[in-house]
Amino acid sequence: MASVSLHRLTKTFDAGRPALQDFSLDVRDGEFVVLLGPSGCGKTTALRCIAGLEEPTAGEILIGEREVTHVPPAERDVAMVFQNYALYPHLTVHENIAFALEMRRVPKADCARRVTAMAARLGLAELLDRRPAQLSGGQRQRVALGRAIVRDPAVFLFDEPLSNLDAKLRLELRAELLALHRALGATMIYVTHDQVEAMTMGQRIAILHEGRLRQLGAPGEIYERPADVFVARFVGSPGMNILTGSGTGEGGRVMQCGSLALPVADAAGVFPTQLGLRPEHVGVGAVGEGVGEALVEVVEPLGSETLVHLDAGGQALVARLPGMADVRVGDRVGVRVDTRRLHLFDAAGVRLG
Amino acid sequence: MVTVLAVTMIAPFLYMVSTSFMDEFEVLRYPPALLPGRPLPGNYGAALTALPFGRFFLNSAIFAGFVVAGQVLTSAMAAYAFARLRFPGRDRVFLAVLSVLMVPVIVLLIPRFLIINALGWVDSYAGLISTEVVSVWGIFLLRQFFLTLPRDLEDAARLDGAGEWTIFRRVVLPLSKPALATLAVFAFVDQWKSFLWPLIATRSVEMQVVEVGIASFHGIYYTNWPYQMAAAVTAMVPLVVVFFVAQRYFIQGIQLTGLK
Ligand SMILES: Nc1ncnc2c1ncn2[C@@H]1O[C@H](COP(=O)(O)OP(=O)(O)OP(=O)(O)O)[C@@H](O)[C@H]1O
Ligand SMILES: [Mg+2]
Repeated sequence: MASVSLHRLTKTFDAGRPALQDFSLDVRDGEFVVLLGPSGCGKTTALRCIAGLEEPTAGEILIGEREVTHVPPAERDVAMVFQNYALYPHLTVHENIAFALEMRRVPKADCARRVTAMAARLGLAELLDRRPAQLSGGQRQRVALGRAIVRDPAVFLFDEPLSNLDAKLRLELRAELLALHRALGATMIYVTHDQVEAMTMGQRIAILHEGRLRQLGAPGEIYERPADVFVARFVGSPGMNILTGSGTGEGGRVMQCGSLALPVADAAGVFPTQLGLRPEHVGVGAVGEGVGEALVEVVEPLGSETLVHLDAGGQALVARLPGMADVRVGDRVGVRVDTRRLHLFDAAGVRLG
Repeated sequence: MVTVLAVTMIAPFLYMVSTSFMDEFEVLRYPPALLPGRPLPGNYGAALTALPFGRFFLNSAIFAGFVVAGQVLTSAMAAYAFARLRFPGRDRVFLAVLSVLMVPVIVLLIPRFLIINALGWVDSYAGLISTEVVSVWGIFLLRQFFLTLPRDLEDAARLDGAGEWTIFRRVVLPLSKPALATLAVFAFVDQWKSFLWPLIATRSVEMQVVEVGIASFHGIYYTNWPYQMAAAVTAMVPLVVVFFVAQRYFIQGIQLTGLK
């Protein structure tokens, strides 16, 4: 078990802008941290730097108390589960799991015992003699897990381990992974671009965008107090509505966003230019009600809730209504807003207050 | 279309087999006979005992066998270095090695002979084999194959604690069986049919390889086509066997690519 510290990590590949820039992160011993971000934001690069598969251009990496920035992967006591499993196709399940033990010169009998125990734990006992090609996706993922766990490493790294599985299996393995985390008490860093996975699994979430850390915090904190417009939009499905507008009225206490007039308390003397509003805090009513009028553009009935896409004088926003709402495309409606739940951002998109 | 192609490729071969069973004058008849009137299997015995063909086959087998082993080994190691290891000037060195492909083989015959002559290896297995064990074409073929192997596998092995040499031996080589088999087959066929170099590098009859043997046979029995064909057909048998044995790996190779 060990903590992991990244200190101002930068990685630049041969050409172009850095894949990772000034990335600092402290993962506590035994913590489950999720790296979340869109495709190409540098998540895999960060993991590969921690694993030692990629040498950072600048910055340092500590595992436990030890500085490992230039230590080879084998000596870091880190295990990684790859997105495409990376099982050895020419070896059986047993040999795949045993490979790392064999490399570490674990005695044969001991090795066999550990592999068998691991297989039983992951429900792979009957599959030990098969090759990866003869396994289903879920089984392959379990073997990949087994291969990581059997070594008993200080830190686990997961690179989108569930993204190739179907929805039901993903749900199942998500729960299994969390149970595993509790049972092992190991430090785990988990990469995903799926924000539902991040919200449900992470004790803390680090949000990356274009190689930079945008926000680090508990899932609730990230959802309720997004640090900037990018995080606000990225987290939540659908993400936060962002409205732009300008202040009118006395002291600029009302912001006109398209056809909506939203009252804002000015935060710390800086006047916001962007407003954020979660879809669940938007409602619809009869014309004349609420803060303004809007046109219904799309209605997505999901059963337990209905997503209504609105056009409010050129500003797009989504309302999440409970149940099967009685709204039709082309309707004009009044927009009701829970004004206490407004998020304020400045022109650069940074949170105010 | 495929059938036409297949027939035009196989027909001469079948005629060769057919001729090898004919009698000496049947071949020369006009219009030519397609099948022997009375098959003479005895042609084989007679042809193969006329010269020490047993010895020739042994020489060919030793020559081709060692060259194949050598080429597969050196090509695999060099190709892995060019495909995966990081060292300064790697790609430039690779280009330089590739450029050797443009030098005609004939041009190299004399320098190669001078080298083995200086070493006193003329008319020995060492002389035959030594200058053939590195194949630029083999390095190129395997490098291209190694480049297609998923890097994640090597990274997984690295994290599992394997060093470069172990990764090469335990992960890369087993996954490359189809490519290695391809190289081995081509190298074997190439060496088995090789004529000019063994002719130059050897002097005594005991050191001659099959190809050279057949040529000298031609000199002695130049009118007896059936004998020559019998010797030629026998010389082809190992090639056919090697091909069928290796076929397994070619097919396996196709399956492996589907799996990645
Ligand atoms: N070996 C490499 N050589 C050059 N550029 C690279 C290399 N690996 C990654 N990059 C670049 O670095 C950036 C970050 O890549 P990375 O793989 O870390 O993204 P990611 O967040 O894991 O994306 P995804 O969700 O698609 O896996 C990308 O722009 C990518 O093109
Ligand atoms: Mg990635």
